[in-house]
Amino acid sequence: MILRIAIKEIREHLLTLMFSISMVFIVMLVVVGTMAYIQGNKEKLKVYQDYIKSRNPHLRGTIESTAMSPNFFYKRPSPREFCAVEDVSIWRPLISQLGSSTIIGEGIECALPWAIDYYGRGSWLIWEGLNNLFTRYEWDGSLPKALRIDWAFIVGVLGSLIAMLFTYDAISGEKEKGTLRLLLSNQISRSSILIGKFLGSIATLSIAFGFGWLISIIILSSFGIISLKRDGFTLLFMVPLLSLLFLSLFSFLGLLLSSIFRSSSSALLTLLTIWVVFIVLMPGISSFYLRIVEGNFRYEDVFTVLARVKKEVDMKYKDGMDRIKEKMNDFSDKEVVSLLRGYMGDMERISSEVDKEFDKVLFMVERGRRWARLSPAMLYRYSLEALAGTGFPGHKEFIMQVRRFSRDLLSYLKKVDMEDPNSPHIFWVRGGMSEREIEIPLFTHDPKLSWAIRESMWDNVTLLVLGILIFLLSYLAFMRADVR
Amino acid sequence: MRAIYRIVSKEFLAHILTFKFALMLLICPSLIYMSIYMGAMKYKGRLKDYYANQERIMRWIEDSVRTGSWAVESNVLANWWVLRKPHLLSSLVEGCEVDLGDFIRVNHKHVPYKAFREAEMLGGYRIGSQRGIFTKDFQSFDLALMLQIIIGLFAVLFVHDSISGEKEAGTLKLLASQGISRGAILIGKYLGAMAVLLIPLSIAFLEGSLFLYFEFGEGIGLDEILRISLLYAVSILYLSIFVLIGILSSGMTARSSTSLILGLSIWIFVAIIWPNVVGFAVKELYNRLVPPDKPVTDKINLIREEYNNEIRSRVNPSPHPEQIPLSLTWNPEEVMCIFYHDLLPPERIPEILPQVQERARLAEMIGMRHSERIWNVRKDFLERYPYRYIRLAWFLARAFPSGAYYELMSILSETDWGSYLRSLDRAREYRKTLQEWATNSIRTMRWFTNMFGYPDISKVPRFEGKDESIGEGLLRARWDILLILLMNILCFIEAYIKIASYDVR
Repeated sequence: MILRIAIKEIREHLLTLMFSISMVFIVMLVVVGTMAYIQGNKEKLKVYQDYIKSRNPHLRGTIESTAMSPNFFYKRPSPREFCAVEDVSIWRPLISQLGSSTIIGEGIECALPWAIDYYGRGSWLIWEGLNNLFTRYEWDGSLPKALRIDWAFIVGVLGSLIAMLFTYDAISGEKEKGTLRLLLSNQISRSSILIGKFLGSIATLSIAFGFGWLISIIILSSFGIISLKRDGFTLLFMVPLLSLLFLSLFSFLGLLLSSIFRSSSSALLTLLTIWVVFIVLMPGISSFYLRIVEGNFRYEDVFTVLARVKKEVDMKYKDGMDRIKEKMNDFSDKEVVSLLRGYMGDMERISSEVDKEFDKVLFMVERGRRWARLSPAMLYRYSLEALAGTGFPGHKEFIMQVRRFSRDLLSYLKKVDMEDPNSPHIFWVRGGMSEREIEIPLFTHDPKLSWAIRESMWDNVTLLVLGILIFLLSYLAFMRADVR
Repeated sequence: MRAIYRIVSKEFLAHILTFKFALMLLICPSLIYMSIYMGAMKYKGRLKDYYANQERIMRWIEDSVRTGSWAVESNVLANWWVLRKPHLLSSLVEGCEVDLGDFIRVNHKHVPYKAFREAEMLGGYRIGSQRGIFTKDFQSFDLALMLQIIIGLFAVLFVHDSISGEKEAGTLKLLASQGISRGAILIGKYLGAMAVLLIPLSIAFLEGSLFLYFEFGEGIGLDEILRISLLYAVSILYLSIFVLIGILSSGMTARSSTSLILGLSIWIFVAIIWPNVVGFAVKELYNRLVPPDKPVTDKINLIREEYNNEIRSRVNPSPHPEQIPLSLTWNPEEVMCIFYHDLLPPERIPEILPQVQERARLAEMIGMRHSERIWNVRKDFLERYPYRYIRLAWFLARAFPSGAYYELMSILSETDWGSYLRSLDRAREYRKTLQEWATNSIRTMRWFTNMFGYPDISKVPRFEGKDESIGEGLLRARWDILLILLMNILCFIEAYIKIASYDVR
């Protein structure tokens, strides 16, 4: 019985004006979005590939040169980005340098080799962009405000609206037409009517959006941007599943309000109001939160952290400093050597301090995003961002990978240095490290699928729970509805 | 005439007594209040930052003067900054103000070409500035955006069954048989719907004005009140476009449910799809078509080289060209005069001083001339690339009412891109007063030596940020106003044609 109702609903929906208009909108948006995305992705990919090609995979160097020279970490542009396009300013290669101090001469101060070059030599991560690429994006603010046209927009904003427009008159419309009592008097259970109508609408929606999804995948794979082998699981399974979940959430919402209200137009009005509040207004709350709260958040500069740690460490080693200054590069004096080792070891704290400051930024953005999750469309978008490896979750993951790599590299260098009996074992000081040559390990950004799924789990589960809740509510509402 | 009045009153009563109206009356004020509150808080934060930054800049310069490191008047101007003041009405219409920078660098040898954000000013190594890149992830919301979306929605919801609904109910033929002309029906229904929809709109603006008055009492003057009423008038015009669109779609089909879908689709396209598609597409295109500004920086470096050469040849023809070329002199007596004047024997001073003065004057003149050249290079690049595409983007956005509406609202609130350009223009005019002051100052010795005391900062002419008057704003907005009026007229004509040919049986 459910199947018959569903098929009848599908046939009805397919013949409506709403369906044809939504197909037109979906196809138009998909084409615009994918075309723009292809252009953008090509550029990012080119930069990334140039970098990969320019790397020498078998580069050898001394420990000193590896530790003290700049390291460039590039983030691989995710091919699945078309699901949730990130703002380009977020995509920047990170530049990090492993050495925490250099012996530099700064005018009169060259007798003191402990001046830390604030330019960025430190085992911390500093954001730097490829300047000529990014001076273009500075004018973004002058352009008309617009959301990004990606799959998260198409389903999140448009899809929720269309889902509601398909089901708003499912119950109340039939009641008005008088066919609901005819249906029920034929001993068709209420639950089968509800499920049947739901199936009908979700099938129509999946035809419409599935078609759009297919078009985008075909366009993208024909341009070689995505490969079904590598991303098949996410693209053909996770994302459509998630979209179905999201759309059924809104279908059930439509059914719920349809059962509550007697007239379709009031149901529609309430639905549209809910849509405006939750899909259009809610995401703005997080930006509001961010701007208000972040104004009071003070971060320390890299310089300030540097100065602070240096002062503390200088305090601690104040007595030994004179001896160090006298015998700067003479590593034969045991006391000097141990003082130096201690001093440099303490200076290594700078990296963790700077990381802490940086984590504050990430934490703040995380809190802002939490507020935005009040809107189901944002839940959907964040989940897609995690699955596609873009946006804030993708970037956070990239930073974590870089940090892990830096730590591992540092411990590897130290290990090799320890094994060398000829080395004075004073890290970060020129001439204090092993002369051995090593093959420098290279960093490749490798976002794992397991991470992506884990990251999106919370949002998926919330969507699921919300969907089940609304389903139960609509079930309840329809059970209690007066059908006469 | 009487017929129209009767239709209007009947429509008005019919609409007011519906659930639709009650819901709208309930929802609108709270939505509006939320967006105004958010906007006002953001404005407050920005105003606080503005005053804090002014303090900071002044304190920085004063500290440097007091500690002696900048005890020379020429150096006071070297880091002279001017701030863009946030506008009160940005709490209603955010526009471009928030995303563009506030700090404008201005001095006699530097023509302002852009306003910098705090992050850019202090260098990218500020950790806190990195949060800026993530805030782009969050949409910001203001009253104008909210109105842009919900005005259309409610208009369509109210009017979608005005023609087709009456036809289904059978009352349309009765109306037509009364000898009431089609035009009268159209005008009557239009005015009735407008009267009803004006109620929540007026409440919204009243709410906004009261909130702003209680929050920022001192900032509200006649100018602001006039501007708010203009915003109100523009919103009414925008509302009327959608009412006409709703009536139009109602007159296209015979069933009210179809006309509802039609009206809603038009609303979805105009208010949701088109603005985002245009904005997104132009952003992507723009980022692709604008070349990197390396050629500009190369040209500027060339000009700087020429400047250095000219200084070296005319001002300071030192026999040691490896010296920093911008030093004023190599003559040891002159150097003593500038830096260690107590070491100079007093009889030499009357001869040395004028020489140094002449050198300084020459150097500054050369510097000012070259800064003009640098500005021309920058201006050329800006006009050819970024500005052209920004104009294109706004032009495309204006093709549909929502873009035109938002632009008009932001022009009236002085938060649009044109207002940003205007503040740069005014900074350039201010630069001329700075140049005058500098030229006069060069004639004195304070310019390049602290022999006669430390510089007095209060003597430097201050920037008066005079806001644009309403008349100028309206002049700048004339095309947008014309566009919205045109759209109104067009929709009216379309609706009339549809109703005139409508089958009322």
